[in-house]
Amino acid sequence: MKRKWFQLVSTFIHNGYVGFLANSNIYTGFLKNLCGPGLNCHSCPASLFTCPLGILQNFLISIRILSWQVLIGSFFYILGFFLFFGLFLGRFICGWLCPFGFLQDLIYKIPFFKKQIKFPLHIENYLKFIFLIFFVILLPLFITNEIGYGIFMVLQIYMSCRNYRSWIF
Amino acid sequence: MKKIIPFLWILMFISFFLGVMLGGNNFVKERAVTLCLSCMGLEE
Repeated sequence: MKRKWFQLVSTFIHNGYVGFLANSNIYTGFLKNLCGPGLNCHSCPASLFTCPLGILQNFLISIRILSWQVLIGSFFYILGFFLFFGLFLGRFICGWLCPFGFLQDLIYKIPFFKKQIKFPLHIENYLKFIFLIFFVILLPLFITNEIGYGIFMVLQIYMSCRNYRSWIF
Repeated sequence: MKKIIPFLWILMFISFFLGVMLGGNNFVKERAVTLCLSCMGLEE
């Protein structure tokens, strides 16, 4: 129970900018220089911090168009945050601080048909790394548009569906 | 494994130092203050 409250407070801190209700704009202050501990979309208007994985993907999708100075600078800056969180907090982030983990915990509580997928243990141990390498590194790095700018597969699907969306609404 | 942890601490400080010196924080902020496509009105 204590963990849930901790996650709730962390989620509110991650999304603590209420000024967007008044000025209809995204937060652009100093805290956006810093990565937050956990997954939280940094393009949401209420978001105070940058998402570490989101910015890593952003870095990878634009790796072909950045100048070497920005490339090296942003690489080391992002690496610094990953090391900082890993060395200070480790997996404490996953269970206690991550807003996305909190959302998943809440969704899991909805009583609904759940199918448990079983893999052999030696595959299960490495499944998270396969997901990380495929979705966070390889997709942004190699799925590119005509100008060499990386583009997510989901985004491509979204853009191809947007006509249907405007038709619906 | 424990032997490399001090090196990771040193790497962390060097990474932050180099990152800030080369303007990595500006890249992070620039990308993080960009709204997603639907909010930018690109879907119209």
